Amino acid sequence: MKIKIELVASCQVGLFETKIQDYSIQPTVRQIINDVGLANHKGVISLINGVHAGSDDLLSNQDTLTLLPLIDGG
Amino acid sequence: MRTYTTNPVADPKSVLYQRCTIHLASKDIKLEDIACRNLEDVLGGFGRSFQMLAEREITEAYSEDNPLIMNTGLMTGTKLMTGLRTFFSAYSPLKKSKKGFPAAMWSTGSGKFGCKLKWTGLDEVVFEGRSEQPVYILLSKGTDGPQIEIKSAEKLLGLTTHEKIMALQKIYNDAHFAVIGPAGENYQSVTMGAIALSTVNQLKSKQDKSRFAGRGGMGSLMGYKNLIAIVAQSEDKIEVTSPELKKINKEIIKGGTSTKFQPIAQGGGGGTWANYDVLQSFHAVPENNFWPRGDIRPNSLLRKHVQENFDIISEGCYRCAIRCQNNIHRRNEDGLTGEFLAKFDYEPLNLLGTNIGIMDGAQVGELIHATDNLGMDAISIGVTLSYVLDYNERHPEAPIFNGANFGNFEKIMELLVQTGHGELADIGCGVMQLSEKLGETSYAFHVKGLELPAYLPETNPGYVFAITGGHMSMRTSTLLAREGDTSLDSWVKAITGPGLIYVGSDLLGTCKCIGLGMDNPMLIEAIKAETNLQIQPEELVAAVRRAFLRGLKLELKQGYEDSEFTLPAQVLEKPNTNVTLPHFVTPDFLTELKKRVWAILEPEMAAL
Repeated sequence: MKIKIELVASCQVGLFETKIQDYSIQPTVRQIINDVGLANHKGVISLINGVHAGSDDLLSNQDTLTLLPLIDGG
Repeated sequence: MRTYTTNPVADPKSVLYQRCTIHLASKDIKLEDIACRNLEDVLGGFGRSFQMLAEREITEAYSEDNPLIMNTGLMTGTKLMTGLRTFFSAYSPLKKSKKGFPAAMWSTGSGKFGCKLKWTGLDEVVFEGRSEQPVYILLSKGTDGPQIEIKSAEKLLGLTTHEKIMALQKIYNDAHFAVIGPAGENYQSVTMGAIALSTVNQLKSKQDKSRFAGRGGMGSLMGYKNLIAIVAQSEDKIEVTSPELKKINKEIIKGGTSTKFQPIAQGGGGGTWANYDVLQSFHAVPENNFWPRGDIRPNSLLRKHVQENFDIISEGCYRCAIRCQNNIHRRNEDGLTGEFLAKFDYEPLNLLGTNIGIMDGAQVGELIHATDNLGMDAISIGVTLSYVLDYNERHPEAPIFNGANFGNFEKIMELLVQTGHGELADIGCGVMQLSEKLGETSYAFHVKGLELPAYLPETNPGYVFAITGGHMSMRTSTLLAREGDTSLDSWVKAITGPGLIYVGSDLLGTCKCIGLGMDNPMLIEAIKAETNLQIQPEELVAAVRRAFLRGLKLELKQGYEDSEFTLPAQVLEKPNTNVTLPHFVTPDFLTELKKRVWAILEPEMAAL
């Protein structure tokens, strides 16, 4: 299955902005975070098709996973 | 501060802070050591000042009984990273209840002024009354203790904030400065005057890189008191940093707590500017008076686009390795870094940018530059201007002022400059009074009389309970974007728990970008290492909580009624479907939220 992965702001650094990744079985959000190299990033916001998702949520074919850095006011 | 105990909770009166009271009219100066009443007094900042303000009956901000209290926190001037803050507290000329009574507020800023103040030996200075003539105060460290002099400020009048700092720097070595600009000098028609605090970078580079205690019009109150500037002169306190503190500071930088605010080149998030990218993903970046249009126009102010034409230099305050400041410089034709333009923090970038329809980086920079040098709060002037532009869009047949519309840079700049020089009181006194005068209040973006920061109110019902700046005294402004949770339970928990504890740094004297919660063992250890005071995490949290609740209680004392604990009506009447974050703040939600939050907080407030 094909999953579109979008990285926003500092999540893109050294990585990419958007890419399509193939998976043979449904990946979790956590798995994709590890696969793209953000496992050591200091926290990310995860959205599946624009909706907040948890680390153990599964993605389906044609889903878009958007990963954004944690933000704070100031 | 002198401490004769290691247990300030059990024995606060064995901790004494040095207060200087200056009666500006009579020029009487009193120095005294004052025993702390409780842990909040020990910690300092608004924790102490609000207890003093609560003892006063103030119905008008511009009255001689309204003190301006300048103090530092327990950790200001220590070697804990970001221990830099100076606090200015008073009854605000800008934020008022519908009954017309001023709200107690504090405002704070970094730079090196706070350290220099602390190193004079003073923990607190109270400015009472008002001077007949414009003055500045020199606070210095003498051989027998702090020395205080009152000097004529005639030659400083009319200068911009940066010009005042440069002028004072020529006279005083080893000093830092807190000054007001033309806006504060014109206090009668500008109640949003800010206080500019000098930085090491500014004094060295001669570029206008001040920090600001912007919120609530403390600069205007200084103007009312004819107090044009304050000089803090003292030798730097150079001491060996303990191994414990070195470890803590290293952990602050490397351990992840402050990563969001560090430069991208350092592996960080790039400061609050990164909020733009994230919020734009949800079309939640305020545009055209807090009405995002759901398109890509705000993208022009994303960092990656601004850096195509400008150089972005990450810089920091004195002894701070977080380097959260994104200083924008023009790029010369030869490709070299040119003139400094402005610092791009999220609030001014948005509220003097997309929220007034300006999408060009250079123009935003010029608006920020003008605001800073005139000495106005960028949030308050930005939001009041966006209201004017919105009004004009709604009333093309009868626009107000110069008829400025969203995106019209020249006319917007004209309004901003005129306001900063005291020529447009209807703008200078804030959006609440302007909208009430015009009879159109639903799209005036303030809560309880204070203009909102650049986070859509429909994404943050926590604003209702903030006691000073909406995003700095209640940590819920980015909660929806971070977690997506819209349940009543989660919002009640956030507001009554971690949300309000966010103000802890405004007692201690640290910046919020340090990223350490009040119950973090590293913070407790840092306090012990620098002051020899042993405080348990739960005691620190309890003191911060009491300080916050005291602030809320003060709002009620100043006449705020339940109906004022609300969001701008447009937010509740007309949800913006362009925003892709969940829409959950309805009138019913807000009613129930308030009921449950008050049910938790009121008993605690009654016990204070």
